[in-house]
Amino acid sequence: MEGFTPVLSTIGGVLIGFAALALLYFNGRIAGISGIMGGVLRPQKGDTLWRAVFLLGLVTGAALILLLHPAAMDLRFDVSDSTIILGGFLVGIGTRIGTGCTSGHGVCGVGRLAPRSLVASAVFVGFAIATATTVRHVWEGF
Amino acid sequence: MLGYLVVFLSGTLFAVGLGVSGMTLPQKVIGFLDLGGHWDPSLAFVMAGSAGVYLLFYRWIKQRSSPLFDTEFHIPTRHDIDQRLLVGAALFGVGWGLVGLCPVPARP
Repeated sequence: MEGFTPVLSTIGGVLIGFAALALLYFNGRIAGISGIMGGVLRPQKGDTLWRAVFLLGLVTGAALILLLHPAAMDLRFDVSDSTIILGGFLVGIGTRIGTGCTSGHGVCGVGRLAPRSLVASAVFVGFAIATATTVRHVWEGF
Repeated sequence: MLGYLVVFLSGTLFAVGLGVSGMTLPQKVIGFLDLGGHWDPSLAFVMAGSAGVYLLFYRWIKQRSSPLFDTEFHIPTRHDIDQRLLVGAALFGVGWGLVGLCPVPARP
């Protein structure tokens, strides 16, 4: 999976898109992972089971990848453990405050041309590029 | 019951799509976000592929009065760009850029 993978990445993207479309077509739901997860952590009556089932599906999919193509789960981090924890914290709190992440805003929101999602996606991609480039080249040793 | 099966399969397909696209790997995500190294544009192809098919079929699905297994669509209706949206997206962006994992691959 190293290097540029235009064909596989496009195919994977299309699969993600169809997964999100299926959830909309059959269940009327937006496939926003941070929102689905947030709803499980703060359960509301009648609105929790489908979220748990979706997350179970995600985990099952991850297990399938691990079984059939383990190279796609060979996660490597180039930052320290404390940076990973800090990053995870920021991702968690940011997606709660900003009501979405790459799936809810980036795929479903952009895919229905929702103004909030278009703006949010531009902002998080911009900040992510600035941060990733800065900590790896300008402000090294983070 | 059939509705929940579709939800489950949608989750599974979503994760498989992520695996095929390479976006389960933080090193590939960082390869896109880090403009100073060997730049890897793959993530842009994932976004184009996923948002592209969603865009293509969204209108068609919304022409239905309701989804197949529910009485109504549960789609966000807000259109205002408020401070919370911008601050939240910025914080998420910083965290994503630090590590290379967004909420999706981080769960499993």
